[in-house]
Amino acid sequence: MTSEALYAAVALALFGLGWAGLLLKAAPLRKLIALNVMSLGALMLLVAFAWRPDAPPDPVPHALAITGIVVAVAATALGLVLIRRVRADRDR
Amino acid sequence: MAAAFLGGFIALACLALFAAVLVAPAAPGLEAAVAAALPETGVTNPVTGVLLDFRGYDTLLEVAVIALAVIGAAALAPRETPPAPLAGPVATAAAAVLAPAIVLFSGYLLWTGGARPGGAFQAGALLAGGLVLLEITGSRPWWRRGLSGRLGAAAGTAAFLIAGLGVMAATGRFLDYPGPDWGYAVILAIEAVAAVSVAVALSALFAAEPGDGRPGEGAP
Amino acid sequence: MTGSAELLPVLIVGATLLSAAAIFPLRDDQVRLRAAVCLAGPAATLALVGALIAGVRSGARYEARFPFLPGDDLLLQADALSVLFVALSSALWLVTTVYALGYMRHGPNRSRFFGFFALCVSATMGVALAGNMITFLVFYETLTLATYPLVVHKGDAATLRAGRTYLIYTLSGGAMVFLGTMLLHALQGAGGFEVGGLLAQAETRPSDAALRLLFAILIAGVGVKAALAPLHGWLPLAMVAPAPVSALLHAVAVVKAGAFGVVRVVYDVFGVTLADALGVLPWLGAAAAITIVWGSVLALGQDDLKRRLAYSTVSQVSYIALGASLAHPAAAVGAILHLIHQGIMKITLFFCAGAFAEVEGVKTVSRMAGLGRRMPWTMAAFTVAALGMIGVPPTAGFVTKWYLAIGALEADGAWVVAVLLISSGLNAAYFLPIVGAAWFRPPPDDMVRPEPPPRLSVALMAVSPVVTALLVMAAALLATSIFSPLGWAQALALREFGFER
Repeated sequence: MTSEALYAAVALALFGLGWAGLLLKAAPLRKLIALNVMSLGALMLLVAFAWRPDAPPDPVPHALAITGIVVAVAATALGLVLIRRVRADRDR
Repeated sequence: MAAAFLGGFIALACLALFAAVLVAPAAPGLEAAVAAALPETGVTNPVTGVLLDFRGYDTLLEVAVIALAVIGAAALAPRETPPAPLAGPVATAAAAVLAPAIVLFSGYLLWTGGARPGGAFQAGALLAGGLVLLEITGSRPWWRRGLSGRLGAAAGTAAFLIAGLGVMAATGRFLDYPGPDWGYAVILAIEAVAAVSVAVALSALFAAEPGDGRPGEGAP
Repeated sequence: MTGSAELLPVLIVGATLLSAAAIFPLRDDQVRLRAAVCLAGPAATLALVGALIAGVRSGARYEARFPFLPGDDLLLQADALSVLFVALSSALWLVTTVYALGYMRHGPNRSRFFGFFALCVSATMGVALAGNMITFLVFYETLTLATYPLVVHKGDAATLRAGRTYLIYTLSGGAMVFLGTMLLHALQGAGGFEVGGLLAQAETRPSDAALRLLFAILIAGVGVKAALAPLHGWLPLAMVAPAPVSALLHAVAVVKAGAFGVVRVVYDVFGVTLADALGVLPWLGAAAAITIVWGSVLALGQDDLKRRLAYSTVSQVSYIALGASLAHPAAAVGAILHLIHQGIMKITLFFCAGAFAEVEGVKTVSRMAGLGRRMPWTMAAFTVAALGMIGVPPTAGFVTKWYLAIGALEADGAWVVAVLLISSGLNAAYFLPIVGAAWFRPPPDDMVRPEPPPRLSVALMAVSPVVTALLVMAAALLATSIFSPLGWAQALALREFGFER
């Protein structure tokens, strides 16, 4: 198995775990964490695709991964605020 | 039954995806095109070239997404957490030592991004860590609060837009930097503002306190 | 190519969209206006479809492209197969609307109901007219989202739970179709459906392993909606929907879109010859055969009439996949014909089941005795459609099974004939007792009849099944006329197998 395939396998395992958690868990915080695991898998797959056997990696997927990380952080932060707001309104 | 179906389906779908990755013919990447055009940008790190120049639109909107998240959080959480949940001699002393080092290192990350791994987002994330450290030890800087904080979170988008329009005056196209020398300067300027802006935005997101949704006594 | 020739497929999808847009803003109490709008939509669409049929018959090609993704256009086109499906959908849309106007006399959110009803037909039209996989995917997913509000129309907790399961299944299937579309693009690039197979005409053929994987992914994706076992779990649960929705879902929209997808994948993405060479067709055939028998066995044990019909659909729709898997022209005729015939038969049965429940309060098989005397027209329609399902001549079901059996025998698939016989026996076992009891046994003594609906409602609910039951008979009696779908199916099969270009 090439290291690209190994990376892809691990990336898809993460993606699948996150996907299952996102859909099967009821608690919003767990869903959010699962979403992050899922997006990590997707980003890792991008990095795996950028790999070249005997040349420097393709910079475009790397740039996409950086963009993805930043957007994921922003989305997660907003998601956390939403979850806490929902809880606060419910407890009131 | 639906849960079992879903679990099985997800497992199968991921296996199918993996198989698809294995059998799909390798598509040629864009590294050659990037390498050919990189001298035009003035930077030597191809990732930075892609982010700030070739896919400039993408990165502009990405900075805007962070600002949007701050706006969303501000709408949901009109108050911010009272600072200093961890204030104490050890934390304060550690912050006093770490904060300057963090600022220095993030400056290095910002500058080195032109040639090596690094850049605005990495520097901004590190700087945000420093700001969070200050938050939890009770020394939230004045410019992180209130209006200047909101403006700071939006500054990255604004700088990017202004730079994009500015180079448009010279080249006629939005975000089309003129030549390597100017390109380097513009990219570095955008990155510097973006790094600080990202840091302010991320620490504001950290401090957002939804509470009960009503503006409380501590509202800025 | 003239402008109008490009426009016709767009106009058809547009007309359905427009009628949805016109229905949504109406207030619930604007009954007459809504009825007028609801009927105008299908009528206009039917006229456009008539023009399309005439055009395609005279050899015109209709094709409209819109830029969508780099290198991938949204492509609406009308080939013979899509015309067949479009004609079925628009005709049954009209009949179902008439029925639904009678059925949905009361209750809240009726404008929402009819609006999504039109939207769902619109997505079906898109599925039918899609000229490449990406367009198919777009409408296939739209169909899922447009049908969900119809399935959960009642809105109570049990309904919403069933709706959730429905979404889980269908969106998962959509994800598979998405994956398959991407893989097809990676292997083949942008290309439309081709008679004889898009992949068969490729200059460089991808590896067999890649093609088999693609086949499995695409069939699993469309198989969810086509209710191929073990992906059929959503269908009996979706019975919580109002009767007109079940009728449309089973006959035209969701299930049929899945079966149509199977036909598209086998005939127009791979091509029968390539799929046969890859050795994937026996697997599809086996899955279909298992579904046919298993669905019928499950139907036997249901007392709830709608659930019995649902399992019957699971079984009957797989005839299409079975026919497609046989790689023989006669079986292909059977498969394509069954797209139409199963639609008109099953919609009749659901119309009747809804009418029994609304007019007489009969929802279960065990209480159907004596119904024939009180609702003779409806029961007659039910009888015709049930005989059609069993495959008794002269009904549409007989024609289908005849062609499937001929194809199976000539393709050396005697086991398929056995499956057909077992299935027909099971069909008879779960339909004939109902029919017998309804006509020849006295009604149960403790019969509690609900408040009878207005006479207009009853009339509308009786007219629709009678009309479709007549179609079931006509499809067999007039099979050789130029109006019958048989001629289209034969021409399609001949072209697919390369006898005629």
